[in-house]
Amino acid sequence: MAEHSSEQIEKVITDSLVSFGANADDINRDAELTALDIDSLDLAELSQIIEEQFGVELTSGDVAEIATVGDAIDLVAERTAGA
Amino acid sequence: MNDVVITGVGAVTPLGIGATTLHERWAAGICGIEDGEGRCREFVATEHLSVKDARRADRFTQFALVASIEALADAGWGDALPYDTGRIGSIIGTGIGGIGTIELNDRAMFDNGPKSVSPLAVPLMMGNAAAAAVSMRTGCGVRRSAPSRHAPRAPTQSGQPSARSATATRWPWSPAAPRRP
Repeated sequence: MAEHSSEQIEKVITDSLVSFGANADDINRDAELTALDIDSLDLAELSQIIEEQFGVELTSGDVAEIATVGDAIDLVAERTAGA
Repeated sequence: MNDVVITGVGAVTPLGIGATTLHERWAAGICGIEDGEGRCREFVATEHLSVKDARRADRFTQFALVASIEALADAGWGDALPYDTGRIGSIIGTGIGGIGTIELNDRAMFDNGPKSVSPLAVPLMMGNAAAAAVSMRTGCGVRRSAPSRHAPRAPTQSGQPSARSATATRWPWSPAAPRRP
């Protein structure tokens, strides 16, 4: 599994959130997913996109720990770096 | 047998968006069928629904949502429901449900395996998706139903939709004849 830069990961996650309906101007590392109107179905889709793009499989337990955009970026970066 | 009164209509059809548009173009002899298909070309979901609502709905559910909202407004129910939601039902017929979602995810599974199937596949393709979406969006209501049959009617020889097939695309209550604006 290749290591991916934080910028690459952030772009994929940001683009995904925008495609789910989140306002691009509201997305930053500290933004809470609930405040962006991202729900569990969106997170299931995001997990699928992350697995397709980075080869990182996120469990429902992993996803439950994601509260902010930064949490998602850091988790994927950590998993790709440790693979 | 109880009497039934139609108090509001809405439509998303190959002839355009809105019951009035449907009636005017139908009365003018315009045919919505192109190359054997009725695509509802004028319908762009995000012009009527939020990005999230549009993504959470197959095209048939998008049609139902927009037509139902129009019908409720036409009935004077646009701002508030005049009855308790427990007394209001959402009954929307469908030939097959979310066929676009079925095709897309069938292809994804065939090409890339079951993990490539969208988490949204089932909620989008199920036959009662439109009734459920309209119920959740409008508050109509606790009782939901989605009568379904799988026998699409063919266009008439002239290429115009037959009266019955045309009314079958008029959501949600399919009146038997076009309503004059």
